[in-house]
Formats: sequence, C-alpha cells, structure tokens
Amino acid sequence: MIRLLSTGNKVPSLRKGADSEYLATILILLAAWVFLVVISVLNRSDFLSKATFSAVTFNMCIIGILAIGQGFVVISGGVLDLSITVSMLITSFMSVVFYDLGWSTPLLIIASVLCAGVFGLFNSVLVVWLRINPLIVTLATGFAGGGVLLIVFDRKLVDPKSWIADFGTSRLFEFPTAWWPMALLTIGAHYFFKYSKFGRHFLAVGGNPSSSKAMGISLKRTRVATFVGASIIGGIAGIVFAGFTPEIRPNAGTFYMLPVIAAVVLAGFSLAGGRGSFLALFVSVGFLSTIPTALVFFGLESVWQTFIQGFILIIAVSIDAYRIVRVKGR
Amino acid sequence: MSLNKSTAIKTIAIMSALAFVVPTTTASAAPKFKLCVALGGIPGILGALGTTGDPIAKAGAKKRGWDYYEVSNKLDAPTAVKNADLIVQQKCSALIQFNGRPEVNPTIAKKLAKAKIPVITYDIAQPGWYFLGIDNLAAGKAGGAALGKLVKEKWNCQPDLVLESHGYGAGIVDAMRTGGMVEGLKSVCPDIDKSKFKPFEGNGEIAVSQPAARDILAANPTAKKIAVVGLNDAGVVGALLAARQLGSGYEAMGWGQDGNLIAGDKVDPDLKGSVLYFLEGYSAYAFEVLDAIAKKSAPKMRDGAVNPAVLVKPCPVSAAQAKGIPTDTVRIKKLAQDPSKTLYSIYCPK
Repeated sequence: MIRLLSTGNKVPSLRKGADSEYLATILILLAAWVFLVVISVLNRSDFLSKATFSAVTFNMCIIGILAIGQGFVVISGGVLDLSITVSMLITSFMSVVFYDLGWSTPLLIIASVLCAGVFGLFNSVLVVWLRINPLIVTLATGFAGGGVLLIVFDRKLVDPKSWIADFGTSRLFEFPTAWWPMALLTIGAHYFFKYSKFGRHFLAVGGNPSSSKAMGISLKRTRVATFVGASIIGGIAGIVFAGFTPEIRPNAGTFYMLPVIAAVVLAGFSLAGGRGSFLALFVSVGFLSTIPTALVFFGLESVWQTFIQGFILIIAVSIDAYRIVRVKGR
Repeated sequence: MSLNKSTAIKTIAIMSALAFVVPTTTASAAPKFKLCVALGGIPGILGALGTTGDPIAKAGAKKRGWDYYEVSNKLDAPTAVKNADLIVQQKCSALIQFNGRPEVNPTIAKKLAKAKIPVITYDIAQPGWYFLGIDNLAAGKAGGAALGKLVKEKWNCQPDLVLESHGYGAGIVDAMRTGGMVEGLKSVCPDIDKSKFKPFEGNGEIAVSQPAARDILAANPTAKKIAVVGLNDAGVVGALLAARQLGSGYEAMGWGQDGNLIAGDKVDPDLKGSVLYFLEGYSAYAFEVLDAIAKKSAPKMRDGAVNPAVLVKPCPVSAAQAKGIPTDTVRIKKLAQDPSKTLYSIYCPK
C-alpha cells in the first residue's frame, strides 16, 4: 500500500490490495478471540453468560473510543498521540462543570468535546508550525495538560442522579449505552477512511508525505485535522469516562494508554503510518477486552492483563517493524 | 583584712540579685522556639491544607507564643528540596513536613538532620522523622464492623460475595486498612465463608477497581448480594458501580475509607459510610510531640507506620451522619479557633 502511494500522481484508491490484507488481519484476530472464548468455556461453561457479555462490552467502551482516536493519528503518520487521555479528561471535567451550570445535554456535549478539540489544535500548532516531533509534543502536553487540570480542577464529582451517571450504567438494546458511541465511531471511521476522498488524504499523508504533497494534498491542513480530530474523539471518550467515574481526577487516564496502544498495533496499524483498518481495530479491542475477564475465570487476578497486553504489544510492534523493513527492502 | 558589716550586706545583696538577674537575662536572650511548616498538599486528599497553609499549626504556635514560619511544597519535588534549605536558613526549632512527592524525602532528611531540626511527618514514613498518622488497623476494623452491622441487618450475615478492593502498592497501609475491614466485618458476621471473600487490585482508583470488580462479578454469576470493603472510598465506589453496570439483579453496599467520597451531596447511593481521618486537622495532634521538643524533652524517635509517634483516631460515619459534617475549609476554621481540641473531638458523631 505504501509502495503504491509513492508511484501515483493523484490520491489512489488502494482498496483492493489493502482490503485482502485487512481481511486477513481481521480473520486472525477473530480466530484468536474465538480461541480465547473456547478455552474459557472449556475451563468453565458459565463463561458464556450475560454477565460476561456485559463485562466485556463495558471493558470495550472507553478503550475502544480512545483506540479509534489513536488509530486516526497513527494512520495519518502522526506516530502516536500520547496526550489523548488528557483530551478525554478535559471533556470529562468540562462536562461536569457545564452540567453543574445547568447547561442542556446537547450543548454540554458539544462544548465539552470542543474543549478537547482546542487542546488538539494546540498540539497541532506545535507539531505543524514549530515542527517538533509529535511524540515529544504529545508527551509534553500530556504531562503539562495533566498539571493544568490538577491546578484548575483538582477533582470533580459527578452527580449520581445526573444523566451522565445514568449513561455510564444504563443499557440500550442489551449493550451498555456507552458502548454505542464506540460502535458508531468505528463504522464512521471505517467509511471515512475507505470511501471518502478526504479520508484517503489522511492515508496518503500517513503513507508517503512527499508524494502526497506532490499530489497537491496540504500536509499542514491534514496534520492539523489529524490532531484536532483525535482530540475530539478522545473528548467523546471523556463523556463516557464521566459516566463511568463519579470522581474525576487528572491522573485517571494513565491506565488506558497501554491497552489503547496495544489495540491499535495489534489491529495492524503501522506505526510508520498509511496503513490500518478500523474494523480490525474493533475486533482487536474486543479481543483485548475479553482477556481480563477470561483471566478471572481461570482464577488469575485481572492485574495479569497488564503483563499480557504488554506482551501482545511487543509481538505486534515486532511484526510491524518486520513489515516496515520488508517494504523498505523491496 | 575583714569586710565591715554594711559592705558584707551589700555584697551579699548584689550577689543574690545577680543570682536571679543573670539567668533571667540569659533566658530572655535565648532564641524563641520557632515552629516551621512545609506542607506538600495533595489536592483532594489534604483538602485546603495544601493550598492555604496550615491555620491550625499557626494558631497553636501563636497560643504558645512561638515564632511561626510556613512554606508550601506545592506538590513539587524540587520545591520541597529548595524549601528544606529555607527551613535550615530560618533556624527552625522543629518542622512539620508533609511532601506529596516522598521520593525526595531522603534528600530533605539529610539537610534537616545536618541542621539538627526535628521533623514530624504525616502518613508517609521517613526514617528519623516522627511519624504521625491514622491508626489504620483501627480504621479498618471500625469500617468493617460498621458494614458488618448492615450486612447482618439486611442479609442476616449471608452476603454472596465480599469484594476486597486492595491497593497493594500501599503495602502495610493496605494490609492494615483493607485487612482490618475484613476483620471488622468478621467480628460481626464470623460465619461468612472464606470462599466468599474476593480480593482484587483496585489501586485506590475507580478506573481500576471498576473493571476488575466487573470481571469478578461476571465470574461469580450466582452472587447477587455484594458487600464491598477497600483501601479507600474510590476503590469501593468503583466496585459498587460495577455491580450497577452489570444489572439490576445486584444488591450491593460498601463502606469506604478516607471519607473522600462520603461528604457533600454527590454520594454514591450504595456507599453506606466511610471512615474519616480529618487529615486537615493533623497538626492539632502534632503539638503532642512539639510541646515535648519545646521543653527539651523530645520523645523517643518513632518513625514507622507500625510504631508511630502519634496515632490519629479514626471516625467511622454513615452516609447520613456525613451530611451533618461541614466541609474541610469550615472544619479548619473551627479548629483554628481552639487548637487544643481535635477535629475528631469536635465532629466525630458519638
């Protein structure tokens, strides 16, 4: 895919070759997921229960949305956004502030998510105009942002009688209500990157920036949209997070970074950019969200998930590195 | 040669007067006792104490006629180290030190030891510093017993599961607090089967305890009556929320520690109570050691959490009782008016 991008003189449609690769990734991940479920059922037949289904789908909600935001950055060549959990927390804090001010639900959601977008804009200014490495920028703004949240808010408590709290515990069509934003964003991201011209601009810039520039794609505009878009998606996770967490603290996002990056890399997103499938990401998030629940059924504490996610991340990054070396060698 | 009578009397009178005047003059020339305070302030945990200084220590020093000097460590390691130099320059007689970044405590301890400044610290032990902290085991037992009464009343001491939200990183504090809660619960309901107790890592964070508790509940699908204990309120609330997320079939109740989520009007409906430590009023207890230091009879060094210099009495409160306790800012103002009391004696429900 990356190779093809460098040879064209307009944004090419690469669906054919990429599709079979993505399909293979999805099938492999599905096979791993099914294997995990089967061995868990063999271990304990009550693994297949409504409670397990709920636990796994709840596990997917926040990680899934953050992974879509992270995938957006990775696919567009922004490497990683290490401050995406700060975007999430900005929205969480602001949503509580706006709720306490009595704002209407739609206005509250739009305004608090836009606050995260402003944070993303700040990131993009540093990356695009000051030309600082995105990893360094987002690492720094992640720390600085957390510090600012600590100074400004310290902590915020969500009213247990509010719609925000209801949102974190209610159900819609047997799934957690908070699961649906992740599902809809997955479908949206899939169609955006696969079928829209603008979406393919991100893929092109991520895969080969110099060729994309030669094709007339604005690298600056695309990069700005990447970081703003990722922060907005992180902000949507913030609404879910506020529903899940009645006490919002500035350090509360740190636990999500590892599973989010693991999900993105496991889904076959290349850290070099230009490659990735959001459908595969959905399956990857589902697989990783099943692991901690399965571990408990095996009698192990869910803390083992950190070890397993780290292990999976190492394997996935190694595969990605091998793929990059192979492509460069051609 | 002999002195005449009047000269002898004068000499004796002068010598006698000198016997009183010299020591008095010397005493007044000695430096006044100077209490210094360097607080780190963990926002949300030490409440207003971190940002507005320590009015209780200040009031206590004023009452005793001591000099007073305070700095804020601002939850920042380099600031805390820099402040240690200021404390040495100020020639403080004693220091109340709490630093939210304990990794620099050994560096600070070296500087202060060199200047021979005795230190009283809160909750995080440092060798050579008087340790003042909550009686964690008593706090755990009190919270567990309070929950036990509810479990007995509501479920006849037959919960399906007891979730233990640990924070293993807190070491001995977790062992005493969460372990103490289990002990307290068993003291009321001794026949709860061992297999019903499910310990898990909650890290004292809702974001960690919630998914972990969800997984445990999923793995115990027949359990519906859930009792929750833990290291702190957040770890307990995370598990209570997990039960609500999994469905309406669950009946859960928990009792927390630290009182962080029991005050105000945004309290989780299943959090039945918590144990308050009144951290913002710790300085009232510190005078127990400070007074002894000021009298030049410093107590024996007790610098560990297991064998502390001063133990703060925990205060178990139900959610209903917590509503009657004012915010930490109000509590500090009240205690500062009479620092000879403690927040426990003023506010803990009898």
